[in-house]
Formats: sequence, structure tokens, C-alpha cells
Amino acid sequence: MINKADFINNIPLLIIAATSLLILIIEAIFPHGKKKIGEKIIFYLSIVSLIVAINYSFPQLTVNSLFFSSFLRLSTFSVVVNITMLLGILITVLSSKEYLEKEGINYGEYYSLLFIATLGMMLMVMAYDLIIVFVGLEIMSISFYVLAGFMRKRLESNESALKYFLLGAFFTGFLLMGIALIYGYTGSTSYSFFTNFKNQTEPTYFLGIVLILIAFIFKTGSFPLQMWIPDVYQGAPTVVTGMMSSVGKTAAFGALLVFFTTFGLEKFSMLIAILAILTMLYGNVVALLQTNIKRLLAYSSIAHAGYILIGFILVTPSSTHAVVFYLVSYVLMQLGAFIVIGIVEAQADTMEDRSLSNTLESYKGLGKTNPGLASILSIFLFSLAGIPPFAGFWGKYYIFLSVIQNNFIWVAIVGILLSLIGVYYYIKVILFMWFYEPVTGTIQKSKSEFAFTAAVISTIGLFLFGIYPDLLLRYIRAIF
Amino acid sequence: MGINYFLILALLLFSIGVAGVLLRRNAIIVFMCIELMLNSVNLVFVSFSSYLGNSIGQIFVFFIMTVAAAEAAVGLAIIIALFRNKETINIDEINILKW
Repeated sequence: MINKADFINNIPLLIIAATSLLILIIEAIFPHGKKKIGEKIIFYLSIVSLIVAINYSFPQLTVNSLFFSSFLRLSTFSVVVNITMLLGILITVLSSKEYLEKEGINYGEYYSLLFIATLGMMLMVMAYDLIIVFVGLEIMSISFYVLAGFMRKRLESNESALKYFLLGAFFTGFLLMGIALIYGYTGSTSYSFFTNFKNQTEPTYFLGIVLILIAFIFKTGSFPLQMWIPDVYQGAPTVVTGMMSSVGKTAAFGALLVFFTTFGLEKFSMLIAILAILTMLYGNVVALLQTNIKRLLAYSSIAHAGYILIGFILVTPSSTHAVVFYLVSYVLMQLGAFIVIGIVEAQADTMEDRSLSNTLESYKGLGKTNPGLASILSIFLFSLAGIPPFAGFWGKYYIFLSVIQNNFIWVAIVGILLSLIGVYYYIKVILFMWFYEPVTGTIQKSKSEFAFTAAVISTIGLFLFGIYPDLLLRYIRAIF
Repeated sequence: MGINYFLILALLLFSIGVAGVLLRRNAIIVFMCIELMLNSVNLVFVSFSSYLGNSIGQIFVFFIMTVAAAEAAVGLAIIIALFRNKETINIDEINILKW
């Protein structure tokens, strides 16, 4: 039965859902005019409601119980991941305004879709039933398909949306078939039910788990099913790419972690180890060859999926802590890097120039034309490369530490070697920015104050968690 | 009738859907094949639900139908947006994003 406690404890979810609808109403009331009243209201409303939602999430860090007839589960894990995602969305909202205005796509629907996607992501992580996993995943994915194709006049955006949509829907079919088979074997879809079935090897059940794993491997962009990531990430609007590659992946990994702990997939540990290594290898090696910075970061995000996957080889408390720490730092640095790319893109005036501004060539001499932007991007790239004192270093450190504790030392050795390859292409971008003369054409000062603020917030987060990781670990250690 | 007939039919439909997605090049037909996959899953759910005598499977089918409808709306809109910019929906010719 649904009672009052269900609603009181899920206020963040309700705020997000209500805001997404409210934005649509405001968009309908205020027409697009010169005064832009509606746009301003929507922008500030989004920020306020996200801050309120984060504020209401903090007291729930100690809650650990089931809600809505045991369809949702609030635990320290889900609340920490939810706060991370809400923070990521807040940074995305801040960074979107100027980019959207420049592209001429500043419609309220963008913010509404962003909130609906957030709702789906939060449901995915909180899910305690395969129905909710499916519904949350689809709410997230369908919003992402629209957001990826939001620049509907641009062919790249259309193409990325179509590719994402066809492949995403295809793998939804696999997810559903997996759920159907598990349901057929166990007679239930609730997570509380599956603890009785740990380590079953009945073919129906086993095939069901494998099919669900395939769908998750697709959503997280890990090795055999990573081919969509570069295309989709390059074509989508830059702010959307930043959000999908950081917050979207966090949700997928969060749901995957709950799935792993529920079903006890120890027998897959060798497979996951090999997949993680292949993912890191593919991402890092192919990224070396890229000439487009969005595509380079897309391949680097594949490599990062590999690092996170290491934490799934054996799901123990220490590896869970490592994964959550990595996800928090990954959201900050990946999102931040894409925000800077978005700012650089928004400086160009014509559509062709904006496409061109994503090439690595146009980053030559950015340190001279815009030192502030270049130094912030350098911090994000250093953090992505895993260089101390930024949070990215501690993320990698805890991941490799946890896998060594689980006696998979060879995975840690291979992973560290592969992350050294990764350093090369991050440093290449930094060299381009600081040690080359600017290409012709003076870049005028941008007026992206909000986006710059968002990037600075991410930088502060990276510094804070990098110098003083206990600040974050204090919350993370409460998981389990 | 045993449940096996239904499951074999559903798996056949699923395989036809997968084969269609992998082999056909027209975006609309690929999308129809995906719908076929989802419908075969519906069949699996309904037959298991009847076999096990509990209603969770039938409830799940409603969720799948709702989501499939939303997906159809979004997917067809994306295909139309693409067709307006580039007069084709052949997925082999949609190839400006690569390396």
C-alpha cells in the first residue's frame, strides 16, 4: 500500500517530475519574444528546483528501506549516486543557456527533457524491481534520443539521434527478453525475490542474466558494444554530449551495480575482467588517432568505462566505494571538459565555424587567446589522465587498489599501463593549447558567464576531492 | 497446449526481428523489426504469466506497450527530421560521422 512515508521520502523525485511538467506549462504560457521572460523563468526555476532537490536528498543518506510497495529502494548508495547525478544536471543546466541561445535552440522543452531524463536516471538507480529498471532506463533513453537530435536543422545531430535511437531500441529488446526469461524461471520481477536464486545455473535463468548484461554493456558503452559512442557523442549538441557521457553513464553503472549485488554474479568475474581490459585498450588506443576533440573525449569515455568496469570484477564493499568515488570524479571532469568545448564552440558565429571549432587544430594557441578557459580545460584533462592532485587520480587509485585486494593483480597492472597510453593524448591537447601559436583569426571574448561558472564549480570540486578525498569518502564509506 | 509452443514462436519472432535489424537498410523497416522484437517479448511474458498463474507478466506487457508507443513517436519524429535534411532514410547513406 502507498502511504505518506512513500511520498515524504521521495520528495527529490517528485520535485524533478513536477518541474519537468511545470516547465512545459511555462513554455506554453510565455511565447518566444524579444523579452525572453519565459526563458529566464524556466532557467532559474530549473536551477532552484535542482538545488532544492539536492537539499532534500542529503537527509536521506541514512535512510535504508523500501518504498511504493517495495518497488523503490532508498539506500546510502542510491542517494549518493542520485546527489551526484543531480549535481551533474545542475552543472549541465548552468552550462546550457548560452550554448542553446547561440545555436538558436533555446526552447523550454530542452530543460523539460533534461528533467525527465533525470527522473528516469534516479528511478534506475533506486529500482528494486526489474519493471522499474526497465521503465527508468526507457524514460532516460527516450529523452536522450530527443536531446541528441535537438539541433534538428543540423545533419550531424539528426544522424547521431537516429543511430542512438535504432541501436538503443534494439538493445532494449534484449533487456526485455532477459527480464522475460528471468520472470519465467523465478515467477517474479522483484529484487527481493532473486536472493533465493543466487548461483543458479538453469539455462533459462542464465540466458536471462546474460541478455540483461548485454543491454547494460551497451548502455555503459563497454567493449563489444561501444561502436555507437563516438558517433552519437560527436553529433549531439555539446552540452547534451557532456550530460549523456557523464550523468547518463553514472546512472547506467549505478543500476548495473545494484543488479550485480542482487544477482551475485561472481562467476562472470573473469569475463568482466577481460571486457574491462579490452574496453580500456580500445578506448585508449583509438583515441590516439582522433583529430576531433569531441570524438577524442568520446573514446576517452570508453576508456573510462573500462576503468569503472574493473570495479565490477568482484563486487565487494571496497570496490563499490571505489566505483562510486570514480563516478563522482568522472562526472565532474568529463562534464567540465565538455562545458569548455561548448564555450569554445559558442564563440564561433556561423554554423560551419562551430563545426570546425571542434577540431584539435583550432585548439592551437588557446592558451594565448583565452588563458582562463585553457587553464580550466587543462585541469580537466590532467584529472582525466589521472594526474594528482586532482580527484581523477584518487578515482583510479581506489579502483586499482580494490582490484589488487581482490587478487586480480594482473588486471591492475594492465590497467595502469593502458592509462599511461591515455596520458599521451590528453597531454597532446594541452601542448596544442599552450605551446603552439594561435591559428589565423582572433577569437573574440565569449559572453558565456554561466557556462564558465559551471566549469569553475567542477574545477573546485575536482581540487577539493583531489586534495582532501576524505570529504567525499566519509559519505561513500557509509554504503554497506 | 504446452508452453513450449508459445516460447518457440516467440523466439522465432525475436530472431526474425534481430535478423531484420542486422540485414535491412531502410530505417523504417529496421524500426518495424525492433517492434517485432518487443512484441515477441510480450508473447513470452503473456505465456509465462498464464503458465505460472500470476499476473506480473501481464502487467509488464502494458508497460512494454506504453514504452513502445513512446519510442515509436520519438523514433518516427527523428526519421522525419533526418529526411527533411537529407532525402534518404537508407542507413548506409547516413554516414557523415566517422573516424
